[in-house]
Amino acid sequence: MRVGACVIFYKGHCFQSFGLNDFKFLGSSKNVFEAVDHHGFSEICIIRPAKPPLTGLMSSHRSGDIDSYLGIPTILVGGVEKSLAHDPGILRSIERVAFNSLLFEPECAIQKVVDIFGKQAVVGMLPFVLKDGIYMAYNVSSDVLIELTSDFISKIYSICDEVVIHDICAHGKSGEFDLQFITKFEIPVHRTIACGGVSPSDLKRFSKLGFSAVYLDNISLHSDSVIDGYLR
Amino acid sequence: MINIVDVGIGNTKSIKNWLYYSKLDSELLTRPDEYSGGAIILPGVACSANLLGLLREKRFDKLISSAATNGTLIVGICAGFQALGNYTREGKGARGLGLLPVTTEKISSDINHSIVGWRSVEIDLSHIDPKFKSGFGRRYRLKGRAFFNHSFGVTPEKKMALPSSNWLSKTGSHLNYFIKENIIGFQFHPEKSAHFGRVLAEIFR
Amino acid sequence: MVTCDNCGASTHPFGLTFQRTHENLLICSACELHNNKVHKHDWKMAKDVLETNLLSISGKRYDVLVPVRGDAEDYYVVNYLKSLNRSILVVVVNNYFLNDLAWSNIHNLITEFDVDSILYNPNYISYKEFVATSLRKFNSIYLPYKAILHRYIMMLAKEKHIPLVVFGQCQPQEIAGKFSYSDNLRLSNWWVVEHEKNGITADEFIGSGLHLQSWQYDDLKYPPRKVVSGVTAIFLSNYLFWDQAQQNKLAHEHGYSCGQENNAFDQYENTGSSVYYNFHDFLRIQSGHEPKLFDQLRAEVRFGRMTKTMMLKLQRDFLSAPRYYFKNFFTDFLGSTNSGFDWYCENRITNRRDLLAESELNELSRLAEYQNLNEEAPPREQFVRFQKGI
Repeated sequence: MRVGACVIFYKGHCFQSFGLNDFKFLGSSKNVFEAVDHHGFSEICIIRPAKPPLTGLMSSHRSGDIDSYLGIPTILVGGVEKSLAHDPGILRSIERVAFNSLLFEPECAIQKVVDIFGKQAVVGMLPFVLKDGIYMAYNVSSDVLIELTSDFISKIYSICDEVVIHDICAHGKSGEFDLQFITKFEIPVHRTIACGGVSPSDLKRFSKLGFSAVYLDNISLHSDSVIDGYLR
Repeated sequence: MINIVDVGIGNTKSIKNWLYYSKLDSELLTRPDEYSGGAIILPGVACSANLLGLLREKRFDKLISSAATNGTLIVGICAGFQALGNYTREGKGARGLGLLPVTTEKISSDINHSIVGWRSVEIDLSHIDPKFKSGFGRRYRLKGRAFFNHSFGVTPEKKMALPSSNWLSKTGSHLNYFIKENIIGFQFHPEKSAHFGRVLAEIFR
Repeated sequence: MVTCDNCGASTHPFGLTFQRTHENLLICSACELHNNKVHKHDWKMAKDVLETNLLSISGKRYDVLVPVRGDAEDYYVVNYLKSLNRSILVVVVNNYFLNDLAWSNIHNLITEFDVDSILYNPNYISYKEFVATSLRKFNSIYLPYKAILHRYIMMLAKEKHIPLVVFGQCQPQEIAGKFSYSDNLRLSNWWVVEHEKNGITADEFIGSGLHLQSWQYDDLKYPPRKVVSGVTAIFLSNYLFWDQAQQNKLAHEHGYSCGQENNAFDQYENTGSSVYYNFHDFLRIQSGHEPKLFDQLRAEVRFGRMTKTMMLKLQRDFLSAPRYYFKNFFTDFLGSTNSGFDWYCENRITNRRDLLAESELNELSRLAEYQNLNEEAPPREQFVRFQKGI
């Protein structure tokens, strides 16, 4: 099972988040990326948030960029379609791209991306919340919650190589990823990446369950030895 | 100078960063007439059929073939590796550059959709043209963990007696890499294989 | 530019984020975390975790290593650990900026609490070279000290089989509201690079005209993870309710003497330094940041001990008069000539020249009403070099 780090990226800096609403400044993306590489993570998931954090950045804050050197694979989430149209250069340092809003479009919409990157590089991003006992998928670009159905889940797994199942409410909270979501929709875990609330102590459990990967969120930077002993 | 073929797709910037980090000069080659010598890299993170179409459209196929004949180091990464073969079945299928005796086919549907992850790789350097071995000193074998991400795999056209290290352990019938003197194909991504990838960059030294 | 409705902060070197409250106020991450500290966080449970899990681990001869610099915070930390019967090794890494007050407080700390201590004097020649280069390239004089300090204490802890290194305040958390109290923060290479070294790596010192051997740059590099595995460095403020200004005053009970700094509000924090509230503070302003005093005032506002109006007035007053005289840094420490110092002032100071004083500040431009300065205190001896037997 791969163990990746998930960071939120905005204006050359990384942020950590609690529930994807409350953001806290983490630091220069250059330092964060280097640390993630050295800590032994398998890959890094960079989220460009649709609602960026409100921050007081100064010119003295050293910033980095997504296309700086990183010795591990990068998966980019957020604004990929926009980048393809207006700033395709940024995607030349990315190994996999993850889509959210395209999942709610007809299947053919994603074909253009498959033609450019290859099927293996296309990942689905499915943020979910549990609201009044019902699991809802979050469409980021239209800021809408849609009730999740098994048909929808089957559709996204048919068009994407892997799917990131992102527990938004648990993001930033260690050990709170909602595994019931997985059992309720009979998610094919061998093509699933769990994100949001996964803690280092959960790694063995998720590996036994057969997940293809997990992404640690904020905690990936809190210590040098977050995933010590884990083989990349 | 190391030339990274840039036809508009592929993770060319990642490769450039990888070489820069290893203190190697490189440039993106957007037109064949810009080529003035040096190793050539075909990037990955692309559909190999699409990549081949663009290589031919921009007339890189002739450049690469003639450079290969002249003994220039040609390195194909992932989709680039697949493009160096004879044929690829990805997308609508396409004829390859024919520089390596391999074909690309869909990996069996019995396993995951694609192969994604880190795997142990052992590279036997004995088949490399000696002039490209100097960066490795006395080493004749390289061992490490590398990152793979592909849904199509490369198989040799004819039965070949290749060491076990050449074969992808997941399927047993697809190749990790292939070396034919000055033409090398890596199914994995050395530019994204952390320490092992940085060691492999010495091939360009 | 966004501004916090509570404390007036708009930015900070550590980075600030903002969010709207239910009352439609815009508050910064520091105020938000403070609110969490006071009203929400379970400090009893955090203290239990600290004392049961972390501080119960024993080392071979010492259980904890505490880096000190002669501050009141050091007294608080050592006192707390002593109360838990931990075997403590106190470590001083000399940055050659300490004044006689700091040395006096360090000696008193060691004697009062009867702890073992180690004093590390980095090579003075290479250290001065690093500081001069750091000033020239990065507009900072503390970078080399921070780099050397963190490397040395981690390597020493590993060498002496000390499982735990304990710092007091986690500044990025307490001052800028980075992280949350449920994050189990540990010192790491990333931490040191991001928060202590401003993202600057040791390699950036190389090739900068320094005539040093490559091995001498090793002092600036945080040790690799494998080398210091088994050593954990924690911040007490992550586990204990932290009110720096109030805690510091308790140090008097153990013989601590506080400073007489014109440019500080908290006379217990870093007042044993010849440069912290002087040249170092002025360099903060040169880099577009605020003086340290502003952080201290904002802490008072958050704790409700000062109104925002009074804070803004004190900030305005502070920046309206000459504050900084640092010629002695150039002449006494760097060994520069008067003309060298003049050259620096003419060519390298880009803004707020009005804050430069012609001579040492002996009176006024003080915030005397709040600072309770001792008018009869003797002038301090600056840049005191300490060596055994001398």
